[in-house]
Order: sequence, then structure tokens, then C-alpha cells
Amino acid sequence: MKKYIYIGIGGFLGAILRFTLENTKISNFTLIPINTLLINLTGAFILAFVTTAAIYTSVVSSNIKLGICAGFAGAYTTFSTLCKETVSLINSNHILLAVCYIAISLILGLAFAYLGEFTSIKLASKLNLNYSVDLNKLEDTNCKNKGNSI
Amino acid sequence: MNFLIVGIGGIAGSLTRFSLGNFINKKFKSLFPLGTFIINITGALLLGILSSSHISRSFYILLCDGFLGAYTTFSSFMYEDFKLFKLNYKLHACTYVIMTTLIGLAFYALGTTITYYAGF
Repeated sequence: MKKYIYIGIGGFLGAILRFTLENTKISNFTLIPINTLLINLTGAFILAFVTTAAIYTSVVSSNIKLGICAGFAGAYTTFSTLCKETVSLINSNHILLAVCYIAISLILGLAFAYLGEFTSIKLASKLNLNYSVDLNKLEDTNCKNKGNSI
Repeated sequence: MNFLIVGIGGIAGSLTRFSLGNFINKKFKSLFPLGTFIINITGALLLGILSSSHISRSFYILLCDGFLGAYTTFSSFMYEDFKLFKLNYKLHACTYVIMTTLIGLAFYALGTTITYYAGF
């Protein structure tokens, strides 16, 4: 079960990096949690980039992909902190800021996921890596159409 | 030293997320990413409970920054939602993002309320 070791190491590093970044001062405007926002967006990009590389090329082995995506990116990004910060803004009566913060997180989050996939495919073709969809590799992604209805 | 504490929480959180997520997805085979959804909302609930309770800073770093931060994930959430949009399941995609957000926020608030009334 080597994959658990890869995921554990990724999780270890991801959590530490997130903790470090959360505690470094980036901006003087302390109301919007810019640290968490940057962490979540970069993490979304990385996960999409590596997952796409794993699906479409053979440069990323299954264990490495799990270590970087399920391990590192999963631990690096956080949804619970996002909820805490949004509720905190609501409780301190900054309702508009709360809505903006969560909306920007979601919209840019999806955008960065798209960018991650796009960049990965572009890079693969620029480097002339043989790419094709390996259906077996789609096993790991959560949303595959197994012919089930909703 | 704090880094080590966060790291250990991170190992536990990511392994739990991976195992539990896979278990849920295999058990309830569906297009909707039920695994990540349940993980994210339970993580929000637990953070609500813990962040308003009286625990030491070290425990907070271990359980909240470490474990829950690694247990919940924003990146997988976004990638799964993006995939739903890309595969043209637009209704699923919108449902997924709205439900995760609303229930996540509600569960976090519920967690703080639980701690308040239980007097942790």
C-alpha cells in the first residue's frame, strides 16, 4: 500500500505550507482573508494541472499523482477555513464582504481549475508528449460517467 | 515544533479524506461527488465545534489547522465541479457548488452553536 505513504507525505507538506502561508502577513487590509484565497486558488490550479497530466500523458505515475493531488493539494487547500472566515465576516456585520469573498473564491477557483487543465494540455503538446486518454486512468477521478443517472 | 504538529495533523487528515472519500464514492456510485461533499461539510461542522471551544493552542493547531485543514479540500471540490460543467452536467455542477457552500456554512454555524450550548 505504497500509495498511502505518498499521500501521507503530500499531506504533511501541504498542511505545513498552508500553515506557514496563513501566518505570514501579506496585506494591511485584514478583513479579506487573502492568504486563504491565494492558497485555495493555487492549490486548485496544481490539482487540475497534475490530474490532467496524469490522465493525458504518462509522465505522472499513479502514486505521484495521488501524492500531489490527494495528498499535497488536498491538505494544502481547505474548505473548513473558508467557511469559518465567511461566517466570521457575517458575524462582524460585513455581509457584503462575506458574499464577495465566497463568490470570488468559487468563481476564481473554478477558473483556476480550468486553467490548470488547459495549461497542462498545452504544455504536453508543446513538449510533444504523446497524449491520449487512458481510460484506466479515469478510474481515480471522482466524476466519471458510469452510465448512472443522477 | 508547531510545524511538526500541523504536519502530523496533515498526514491524518489527508489519509482520512482519501480513505473515507473513496469508501463513500464506491458505496454510493453516482455522478454527484458525494465523498468530497460529505467530507467538506463534516469538516466544517467539526471546525465550528472546535474553534469556539476552549482548547489549548497546541490542540487547536493539531486538530483544526492540521487535521481539519487537510481533511477538507477546496481543490478537489473545484476540480470535480469543473469536470461536471465540462461534461455538460450543468445542473449537477450548480447543485454541487451551491449545496456544498450553503450546507458548509450552515454546518460551521451549527458547530459553533453546539459548542455554545454544550459549554465546551
